[in-house]
Amino acid sequence: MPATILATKLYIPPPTPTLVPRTRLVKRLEAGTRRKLTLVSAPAGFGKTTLVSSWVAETQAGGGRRVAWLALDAGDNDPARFIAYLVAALRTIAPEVGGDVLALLQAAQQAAPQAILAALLNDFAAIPDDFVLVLDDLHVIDAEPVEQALAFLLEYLPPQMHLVITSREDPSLPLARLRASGNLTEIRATDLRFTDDEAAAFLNTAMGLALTAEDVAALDARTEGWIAGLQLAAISLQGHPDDAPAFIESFTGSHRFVMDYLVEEVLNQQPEAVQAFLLRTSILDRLCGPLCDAVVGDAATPGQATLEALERANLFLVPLDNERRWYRYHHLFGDLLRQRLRVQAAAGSDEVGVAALHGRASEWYEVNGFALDAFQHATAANDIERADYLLAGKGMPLHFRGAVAPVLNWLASLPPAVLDARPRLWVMYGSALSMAGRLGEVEAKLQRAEAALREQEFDAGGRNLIGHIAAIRGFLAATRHDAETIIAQSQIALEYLHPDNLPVRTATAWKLGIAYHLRGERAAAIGAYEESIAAAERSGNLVVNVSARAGLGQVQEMNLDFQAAEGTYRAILDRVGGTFQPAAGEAHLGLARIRYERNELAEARRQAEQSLRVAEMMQSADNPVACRIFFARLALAEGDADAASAQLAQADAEMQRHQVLHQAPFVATVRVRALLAQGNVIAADEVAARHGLPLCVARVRLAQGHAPAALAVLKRAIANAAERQWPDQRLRGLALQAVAHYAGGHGDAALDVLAQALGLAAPAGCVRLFVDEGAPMAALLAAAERRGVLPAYTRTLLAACAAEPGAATAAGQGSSQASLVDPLSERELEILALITQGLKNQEIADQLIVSVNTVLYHTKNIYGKLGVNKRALAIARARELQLI
Amino acid sequence: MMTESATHHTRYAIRVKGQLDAEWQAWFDDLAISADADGNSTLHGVIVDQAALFGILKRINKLGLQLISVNPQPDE
Repeated sequence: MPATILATKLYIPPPTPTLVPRTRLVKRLEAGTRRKLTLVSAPAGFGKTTLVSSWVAETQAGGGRRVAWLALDAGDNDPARFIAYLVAALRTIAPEVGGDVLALLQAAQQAAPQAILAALLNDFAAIPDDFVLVLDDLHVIDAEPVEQALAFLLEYLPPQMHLVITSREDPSLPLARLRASGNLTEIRATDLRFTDDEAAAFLNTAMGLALTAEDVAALDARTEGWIAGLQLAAISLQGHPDDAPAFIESFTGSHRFVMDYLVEEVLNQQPEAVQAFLLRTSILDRLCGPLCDAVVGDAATPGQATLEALERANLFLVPLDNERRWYRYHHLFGDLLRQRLRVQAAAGSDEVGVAALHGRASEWYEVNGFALDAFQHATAANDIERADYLLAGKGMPLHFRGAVAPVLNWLASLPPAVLDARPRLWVMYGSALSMAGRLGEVEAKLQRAEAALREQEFDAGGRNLIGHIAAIRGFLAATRHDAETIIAQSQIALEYLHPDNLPVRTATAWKLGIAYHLRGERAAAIGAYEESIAAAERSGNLVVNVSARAGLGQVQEMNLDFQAAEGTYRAILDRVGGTFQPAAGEAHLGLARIRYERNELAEARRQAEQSLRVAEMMQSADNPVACRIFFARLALAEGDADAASAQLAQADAEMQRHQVLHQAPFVATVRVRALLAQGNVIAADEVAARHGLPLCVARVRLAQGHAPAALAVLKRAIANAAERQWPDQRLRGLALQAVAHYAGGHGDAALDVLAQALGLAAPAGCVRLFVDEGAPMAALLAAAERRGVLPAYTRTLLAACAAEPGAATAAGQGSSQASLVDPLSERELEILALITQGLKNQEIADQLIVSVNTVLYHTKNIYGKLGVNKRALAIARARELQLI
Repeated sequence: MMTESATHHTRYAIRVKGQLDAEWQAWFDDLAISADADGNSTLHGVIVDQAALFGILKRINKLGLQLISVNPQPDE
C-alpha cells in the first residue's frame, strides 16, 4: 500500500496538438467497447498512448462513457500498490468505489487476494453506466500476482466495464480464448503504422515541412510507418529543410539505429545548454521545474521555462497534469537520452557524473518530502550511506511506511560485504522480511547482523541494534505463540533499545502482553498491554494500538470485567471500525461474547457475523477459528447440536490450515458440550481426556453418572483457578460443582456452592454461564430463589432458563437420577395427588377446606420445586419422581 | 533497409530445452508443441508480430524454460 497516490499516474494525456487524425483506428477503438478487452500491442514509438488518448478525448467531448486511466510503472509490480492505484483510477470516475478494498489493503496483515479482487469487482459492478479502464504500458508488469489479478478481473469483468490495454508486448492473458470467443479487439503494429497519406499529413501539415510525394513515400518506407521515427526525422528535417532527399537517403538499418541516428540529429540541433538539460534530466521518471533546476544546476536553462519550451518543440515531453507542473519524457525518448547520458559519462564529457545527478535528485526529493523517491535516487546513485540514512528515516524506517518492496529489492541487490560493514542494514533486512511475511528468511539475516556487530566497536547505535534484533526475534516467537521466547527476547529488547526508539519499543511491549496473556498471567498481561497502548498513542502506531487493545479486552473479559472490556472493544472500533484490521474483527467477536453472556443472542450473532466478515477477508489465522467456535456456542444455545458440530468441524479445518494449534483446547471445550448434547458420552470422554481439560472431564463424569468423580476433579480445578486469580474459571467451576452436588443428591451443598457462584457472577451480570447448564441449574436456581439468594438476579436467571428452547422437556429429562433440591411438604404432596387426579383448583380447595388462594399458593411452590410451569408437566414430573 | 522481420515471416519455430508435456499447452495458446528427437521441444505456429513474439518469449522466460533458438520459418 503506497503512502501517497500520485495523481500524475491517473492523468489522461491530452491529445497532441499536431496530431494526425486517425479516424479508422478511433472507429475500431469505439467499436471495441462492445467487447471485453481492447489490446493495443506494438513496440515502442508506434503511437499507442497517443491513439488511445485521442480516442478518449473524442469520446469525452461527445459526452460519452467515462474513462479511468492508469499509467503503470515498475513499482506497480507490487500487488497491493497495483490494486491501490486501480481503485484510485476508478475513483476518478466513481468516487464511491473501493472503500472496502482500501481498508483491506491498509490492514496490517496480508489480505486474501481473491477477497480483495471479489470486493473490487462488486464495486465495479455497481457503477451504473458503461465505463472504460485504460491500463497504459502494461509491459512494465512482470510480477505473477499482478498478472493473475488482472486475469481474474478480466474473467469476471462486469458487462458495463471495458478494458483497454497498451503494451509493448502481448500480456500474459488468455488472448487466444478471448479472440476465439469474440471478446478481443486488437490494434497492432501493422494497424498503427502511418500510411502514405497519414505520413504526408503528418510531415507536411502537422510538422510544417514541404516534402514532395516522393520524399514522403521514401521516408515512410525507410521508417516503415513507424511514428517515432517519422517524428524524429521531421524534427531533424526542420533543421535542414533544403537537403531533404540527401537526409532521407542517409539513414538506414533497424529501428534502434535509426533512432540513435535521429536522436543524435535532434540533439545536435539544440543549444548546448538544452542538450545538457535533456541528458541530465533523463534520470528522472517525472520532471517539474524546481526538480530540474536542482538536477541540472544551470541558470541558462531554468526548469519550468525549459520544460514548456521543450513541450512546444514536440520534444517528446508528456504533461502529467493540467497545471503544466509535472511532465515525463516519452518512454522511448527517455531511454535513448539515458543511454546517451551513460555513453557521455563513460567518456567523461559531462563534468557531473550520473551518480551525482541522482544524488541531486535525491536531495531535492528529501527536502520536498518525497521519502521514497529520495531513497530510490540514493540507491541509483549507489550512495549507500545516504540510502541507509533515508531508509532509517529518523526512527520510522521506510518499510514501516509502506515501502517494503523497494527496501527489500535494494537490500537484496547489495553485496553481503556492504551489509557486513553496516550491521543496521542486516537488521533492517530482517525487519522488512518479517513485515513482508517471509518469516523463514528472517533469522539468517539477524545472525549476519550479530556477526557483523561483533566486528565493530560497540556504541549506543550498536546497543539499539541488539535490542532491535531481540525485538524481531520476539515477533517471530509471537507468531509461534511461544511465550517463553517472547518474554526472554522482549526483555533483552527493552533493556537494549534506545529510549527514543518508540516504534520498536511500542511493538515490544505489545509482544510482552501477548506472552503474559498466553501464560495466563493476567495482571502482568494487563500491565504490558496498557503500557504498549500508551506508547502507541504517543508514537501514533495505530496497528499496535488496536492490537494491544484487542488483547487487553480479552483479559478483561476473562476477569469478568465486562464493562471495561466493552469500553476497550468500543475504543478499537472508534479507531478502526469498518476497516479490515484484524483487531476490528476481534473487537466485534469480543462484543459478541459479552452480548452472549448477557443472553442477547440476536445482537451477539450480529456482532459475530461482522467479525467473521473481517476474518474471512484477511489471511489472518486465529480469528476465523475463534469465530467458528463462537458460532458453535450460539448453535448449542439454540438447541441445535448438529449445527454446532458443523461449525466445530470448520473450526478444525481452519485450525489445521493455518496451523494455529493453540486454539485446540478452545475448540475441544465446545466440542465436549456438543457431543454430550448429542448423547455421545464416549466421544466426549475421549476429547476431554485428550485435551486434559478439568471442567470438560467433570462434565463428562456427570453425564456418566459419576458425581463423586466430577466433584473430585472440580475441587482441584476451583482451587487452581482461585490461586491463579482466574475468576472466570473459578466461576465456571463453582457452577458445575453446584450441578454435581445436585446430581449427587446433596441439595444443601449444591445451594451453598450456587450462592457462592451467584455472588461472584452478579456484578458481571453473567446469564448464559448458568443457563447453559440446563435443567439441573434451572431447578437449583428455583430453589435459590425460594431461599431468597440475590432475588432480583436469580429471578432474571430463572426467566432466562424458562425461555430456553425445550426448557420444559429438558426439565423432565435427566432428572430421574436426581432428587429434588427442596422436597415437597406433606401438604404439597397432598395437593399434587389431587392435581394428578384431575381436580380443578376450586375442587381441591373444597376438598381440603382451604381457600382457592391457598391452593394457588401451594401450587406455585410445587411447580417451582418440580421446575415446571404447567399442570400437565407437573403431573408428568411427579410420576417420574414417583411422588404419586 | 530496415525491416520488421515479423511482417515477412509470421511462422516461427521456437526451441526450448527439455520435454514439454501436454500440460504446457495452456501457456502457449495457438502454438503447437512437439517433442524433438534430441530430448528438447519445439513450439510451432504463426506469430503475427514483434509484440506477440516478445509476449511469448517473456512467458518462456517466466516459466523458467531454457530458450535454445528462435527461427522464422518459410511460409508454406
